[in-house]
Amino acid sequence: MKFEYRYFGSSQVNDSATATSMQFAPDTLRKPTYFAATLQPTLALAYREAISAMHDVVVSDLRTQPKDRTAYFAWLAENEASLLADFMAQEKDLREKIAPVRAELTKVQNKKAEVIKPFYKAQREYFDYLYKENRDMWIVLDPVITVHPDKVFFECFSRDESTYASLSCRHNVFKHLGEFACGTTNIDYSSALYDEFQKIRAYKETRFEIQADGFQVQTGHDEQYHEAKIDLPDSWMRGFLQVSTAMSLPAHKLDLHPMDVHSICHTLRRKTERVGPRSIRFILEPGQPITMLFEPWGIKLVCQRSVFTGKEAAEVRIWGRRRLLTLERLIAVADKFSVMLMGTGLPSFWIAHLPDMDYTLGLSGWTANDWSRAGQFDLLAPRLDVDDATAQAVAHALSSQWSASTASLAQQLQLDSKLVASALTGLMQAGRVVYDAVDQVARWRDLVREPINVASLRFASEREALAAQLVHKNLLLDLQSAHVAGGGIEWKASVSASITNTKKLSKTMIRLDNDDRLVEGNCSCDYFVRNRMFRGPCEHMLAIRQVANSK
Amino acid sequence: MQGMIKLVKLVRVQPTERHCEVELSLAPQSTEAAPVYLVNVREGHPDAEWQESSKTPFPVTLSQAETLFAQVLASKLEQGFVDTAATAPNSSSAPNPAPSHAMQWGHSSQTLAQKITRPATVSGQEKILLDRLPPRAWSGMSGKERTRTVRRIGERRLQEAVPRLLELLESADAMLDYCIAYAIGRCGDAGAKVAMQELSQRSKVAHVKHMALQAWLALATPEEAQHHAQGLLALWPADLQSAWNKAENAPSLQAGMDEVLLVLPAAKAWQAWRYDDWLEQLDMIAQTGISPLARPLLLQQLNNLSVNVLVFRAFRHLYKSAEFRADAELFGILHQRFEKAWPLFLLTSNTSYVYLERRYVRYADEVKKPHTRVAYSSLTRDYLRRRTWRTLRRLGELGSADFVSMATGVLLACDDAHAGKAQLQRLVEWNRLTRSYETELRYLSPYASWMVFNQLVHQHDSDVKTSRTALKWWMPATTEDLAYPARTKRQEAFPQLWDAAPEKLLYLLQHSLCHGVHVFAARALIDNQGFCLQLSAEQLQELLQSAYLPTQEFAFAAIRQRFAHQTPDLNWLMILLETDYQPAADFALGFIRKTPELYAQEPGLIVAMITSPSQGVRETCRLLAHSATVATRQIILSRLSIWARMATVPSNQADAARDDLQWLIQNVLSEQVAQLPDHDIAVWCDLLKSTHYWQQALATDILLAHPAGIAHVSPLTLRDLLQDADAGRQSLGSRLFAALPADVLLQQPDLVATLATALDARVRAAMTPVISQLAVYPEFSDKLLAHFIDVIFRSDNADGEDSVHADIINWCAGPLRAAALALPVDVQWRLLQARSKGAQELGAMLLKQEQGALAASLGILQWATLGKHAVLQVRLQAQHHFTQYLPEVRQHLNDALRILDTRWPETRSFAVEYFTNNIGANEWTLSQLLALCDHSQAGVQRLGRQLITRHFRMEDAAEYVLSLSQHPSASMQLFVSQWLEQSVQAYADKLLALQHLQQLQPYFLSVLSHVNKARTVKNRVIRFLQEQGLLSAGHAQFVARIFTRQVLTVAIQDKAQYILGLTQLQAAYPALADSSDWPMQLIAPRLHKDAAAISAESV
Repeated sequence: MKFEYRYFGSSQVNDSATATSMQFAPDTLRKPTYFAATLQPTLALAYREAISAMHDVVVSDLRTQPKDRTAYFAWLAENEASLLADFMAQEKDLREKIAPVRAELTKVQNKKAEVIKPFYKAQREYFDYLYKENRDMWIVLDPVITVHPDKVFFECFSRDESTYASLSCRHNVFKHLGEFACGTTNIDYSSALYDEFQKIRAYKETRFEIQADGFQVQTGHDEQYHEAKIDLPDSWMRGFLQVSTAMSLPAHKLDLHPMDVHSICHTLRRKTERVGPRSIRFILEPGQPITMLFEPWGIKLVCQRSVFTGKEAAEVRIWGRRRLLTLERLIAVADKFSVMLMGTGLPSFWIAHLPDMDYTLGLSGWTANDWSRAGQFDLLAPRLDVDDATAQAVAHALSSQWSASTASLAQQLQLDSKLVASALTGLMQAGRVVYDAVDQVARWRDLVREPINVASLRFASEREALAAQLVHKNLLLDLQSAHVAGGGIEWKASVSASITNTKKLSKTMIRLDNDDRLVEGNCSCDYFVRNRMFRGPCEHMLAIRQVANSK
Repeated sequence: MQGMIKLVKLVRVQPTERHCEVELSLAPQSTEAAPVYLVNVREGHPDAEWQESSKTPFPVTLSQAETLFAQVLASKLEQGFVDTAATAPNSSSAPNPAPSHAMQWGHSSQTLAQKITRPATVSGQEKILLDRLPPRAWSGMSGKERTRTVRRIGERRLQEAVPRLLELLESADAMLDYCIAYAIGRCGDAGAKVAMQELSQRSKVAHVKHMALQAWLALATPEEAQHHAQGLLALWPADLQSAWNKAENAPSLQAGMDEVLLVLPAAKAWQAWRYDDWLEQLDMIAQTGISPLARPLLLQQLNNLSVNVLVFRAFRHLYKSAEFRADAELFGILHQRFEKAWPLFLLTSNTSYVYLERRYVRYADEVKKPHTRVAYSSLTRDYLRRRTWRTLRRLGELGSADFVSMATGVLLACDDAHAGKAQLQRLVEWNRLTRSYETELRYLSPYASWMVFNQLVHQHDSDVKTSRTALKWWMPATTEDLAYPARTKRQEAFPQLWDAAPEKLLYLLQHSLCHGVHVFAARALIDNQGFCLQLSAEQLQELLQSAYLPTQEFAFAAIRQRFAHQTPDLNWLMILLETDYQPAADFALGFIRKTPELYAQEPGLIVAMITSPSQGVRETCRLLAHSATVATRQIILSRLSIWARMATVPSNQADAARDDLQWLIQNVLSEQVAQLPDHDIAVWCDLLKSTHYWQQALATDILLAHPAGIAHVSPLTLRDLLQDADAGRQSLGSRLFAALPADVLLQQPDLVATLATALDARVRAAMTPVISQLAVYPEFSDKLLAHFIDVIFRSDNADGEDSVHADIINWCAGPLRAAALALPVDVQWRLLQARSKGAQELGAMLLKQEQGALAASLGILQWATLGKHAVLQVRLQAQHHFTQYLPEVRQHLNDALRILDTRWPETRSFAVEYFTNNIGANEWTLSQLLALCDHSQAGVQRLGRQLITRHFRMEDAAEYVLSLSQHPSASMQLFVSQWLEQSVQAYADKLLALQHLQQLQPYFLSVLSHVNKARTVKNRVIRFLQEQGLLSAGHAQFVARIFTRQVLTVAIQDKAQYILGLTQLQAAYPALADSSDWPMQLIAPRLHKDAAAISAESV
């Protein structure tokens, strides 16, 4: 997906010993949204910690980075000959001959290194300089800021397409200076801004300003507008929408003491996992303290002061737990944490309740978005068929009053609340509405200027679309599962070759490991015979996987 | 008062730069208590956040601190750190490089086994042949021997055998008749003419008829032959005949040929006309000489026709007839066609059937048919190629003069355009004996697959190797060099025969298009000294101007030899100078340099030299031209005018000489040009409209050198040049424009400005004199400058000479300096602060000027802002200003501190040093110190902490702690923890102290909530809180609240301390435990009865 922004000037910070003033440059292509306020001194520190935690999310990337082995290979290339010579040298005299030559070579190489060192140093400094100059490239999408009559909130999504964060502040946090206009806009964000956020203090006045038309011209002929054109990967957008859609779904809700989160982080910081499963298993029993089991170490964490208040016992596993470490800065300032668990392998939400602020961390079900996770969930599936007129009516009603609960909307529009909920889900999938899990209302927020075509984003590949059709028509026979020796489960089924050709059956097998990853598969279909797993699993495997998930 | 006792700064360069500070300082303490001390360690990269740690979680006595300090220092020194104060840079002596150990490689000489059987004497062989002819001997021979004998007689042209051969006609099979016809034709006895004519008509076998006809043609008188040719012409189709007649009357040969070629596509309509027959007839017509058209047309056809079934018979017949007649040109062309043309059928010797039109047919049967569908198989092709060499070899062995001419024909047909590419071939073979792979590297020259070429040229080359069939030739390669090897020794076949005909070698040098042939012929000619000495000047000149290096070298060697002891005349010098062969030019220059005064008055020589393609020649010419007399200069100018109007000068040569021509006109000929009469100037003006850039450029130079030259240029021409899309022509236009009188230019400031900011550097360069000249008019320069300032604010991505901004800056620093300095100060400041790099540099330039108003107008805040500037000069100037105006800086310290915001390390380190050294303890205000600590740069934060440590005032402790405790970084939290106790001691009232404590709650929570880090500061805070809790019930409640929250941790050490603290509190204030959220139930410990005795240190 392509995004275009046009900022007038860039965000600026004016800093003095007693005050900091931050002026954000909004996207001028959007409907003007403006806002000017100073931060309440009592909440300044909490706000700083929260916004810093959010920055951690913006730049976080927990995908496995391949090790850079170029230096090793360069060394190997230089030394391979001598290593080989070592190996081959059988005669003593040859060794003796080699020794002085090698000593000389080492001397020469050392000298060379010495001579060339200043060059490398200068080069590195230059690259560092470039890196700092262009560091803003590291931020994928500038954070979105939304001003509502009751709240101001900031939203962002991580580079690795798996973590969503939102900080919503009631207007108590700010002391307003004049009028403000509700709406949503992107702000020009840079890492220099992050540094400035660190300077927020209670004894200093901090002033935020989002101006309707950017800043006034300061130097006559300078080119003031700068335009950002960002080509976002579809998978990024899909991740964002999946996570934010998930927020409105039913979930296990539990409350944690800040020190419980501290304990979680402590456990994760103290240990490194070398094998799977890398999950936290929540063991929830009504009336009992919440228990977390850290696999594979088997560490059991009992949260003595957090009692599960739900009605049904449940066991939920979540993965990608290292992403929780972004909550560290909030432990000291949060009153409590609320956790919403959608289910095993599904997104989870961690809400830190700060005084007059709520920080929501949304984690997708996985960190890496590779094929071994493909087709696990279809959160972008339409819930109920909603006609266009209804959808538009709901959209109009919500956009005019900015936020509303499902029930109030249903009452207002004289519609069935299920229908309204479903229409809201559709809007969330299109990125126009965000669910506020704290107030349990839907809020109008246009993520991007033009509405997103969710149909084009729903499936990561054609295979997933075909698999969804197979599951929808229930074309799977003899589904069997069995635990395998090395850990994990093997699923087998006969799946119709396609939805039109139900006579031909493909014998399909998949194996999921302890981390619920699809690690092995087999199928008699043409796609698998041609490509094996090199281009990802075939539609039959994905279909089995979807059915298996629901069991 | 608290202060530093010791501070050691250490540095380590390997493996990465790391700085370390070990510090022993007096712990903040109330005055009456015994002094205690802290040992702190800081370590990190100068530009990054440093790791701060303390070796003393709790203050210790001096002796303990000293011990700790020594321990830390020793361990750091062990890690490779060096004390910065103690070290002096040690120079490393450069070791002498060891002499390279050259290895002597054995040289394996591998020679091709050459078994060339030397023929017996030629006369002996001839006698044997003739002795076989008498009936007695003849009857004893087999048919094969007989035909072979006759053929050999033909080869040797033994005329005395002809009568006996006539007797033998039609005495046996067709093959003998064929050989007899061949032999008689070769021997050239006109008496056998009638017999041949009869044979050509009577024989029933086609090839005999063909050969007999050839023999007859060779013997017949010109009239008879012409009659025969006319008869052939008369049989041609009417269309072809009429085209032929037209062609013969055509104005040029090419037009005539086109006439015939155009009619050929209609050949399908001509019945019973065959292409191959026609080609053979053309050959016969050409032989008789009745038409000059026939031979070129035939050669054109043979060169261009593709070798296919339709014409192959003609190719075959013509090839044999060329061999028969010793027609070298035809023979060479046809052979080269066979070398290059791919066979139509790939046959092996045992294939007898080919698949044609859905059935297999016997190749041998099919090929004999008159309208055969097969021809020119791979076997045929190989046979014909081998036959060429066989023919040449036999001629060579006989010592025949025909060898040289035939070989010349073959070699002349070789052309680099048809040659392949030189390449290296790697062959890897398993060697069973050594059990290893052996790699052979072969160099394949571009001519590697030309068998006869290689046989002729490389036969005696010991390095060259060949396959068994001699179809591929290569050399063992030792390097990756792909160049065709130069030749030091002669390697060709039959060198003595070539030596006998050196004119053929010369002919090859003159006409060959093949590098390999030049290499061979040039080397062969060197051995013919006598012949070389006789070469004429024209021939040598032609050879010197050859495109082939070996030929040039040969010619130059010959010329040098010729002028070994004398000076070449002017003509020769010009010849030598004109060539692009550098040594020849140098040779000539050597003579000129010896007696420059002699040559300086030679206008022709000077013009030739100044327009020479060689740089060295032109440079020497510059020296010469200075000494030219006025009269000579006059002639030079007129010669130059003639040269300039020549349209044949290659433009790259003219472009190369442009600078020198310009120099000549401006420095040598300036007076002569200035005196040019009007009609000459008009001629030069006309050249401005030429289509060649070099002519226009030269004319421009002349016109600019003439005082009234510009007046002759019509405005239209000038406008066309200025508006030309080509930047080069535009630059000429702008140079002419710049020459306009000042009063005209003054009216056109916009045009000048537009040209001065054009994208092309040449156009801009032309404006430099205009700007320098007119800058004295303030109105003009103001307008110009306004335009420039506008341009410089826009971005410019070009570098170096291409950069518009660089030119503007140069002008502003030069002619427009006064105007630029007069710019309003705010514009100058805006330039400095602009985004465009050019504007920044211009601003920097203006800032540097001493008489400029900018530097004087700036306040301390602005100077501090300049510390962030991207241009180093500006930053250095800001630093300089700071050093110079210390009192002013002191006065505006708040503003001056903004310089610390810079991202440039050198300015930051300057600023840190500057403030450390120059600002005294009492000059710092609390808020300034706090601002330093709150700075985003780690280095500045360090400065802040250092200053606070140094200038600490007890009365400010509470303020410091309250403010600094809000800092998020770990090192600042550690720093604050030192003063916790002092800050509460500052309050006499317990209630106020409690309030202070409560204000610090976020700090306590933040420190205690660190996950798995900040051990020292946590311990300090917990102990501090434990102590504070015991002060009053209010304190206890406060501390209990924090401990209650934190005690849930899973960190064992923390948990133990919280529990200990809570237990103490519970013991001291039992009422606390009654509250509902009290986290503990105290169960009396079973082992440790005295729980309170467990101190924090022992945990």
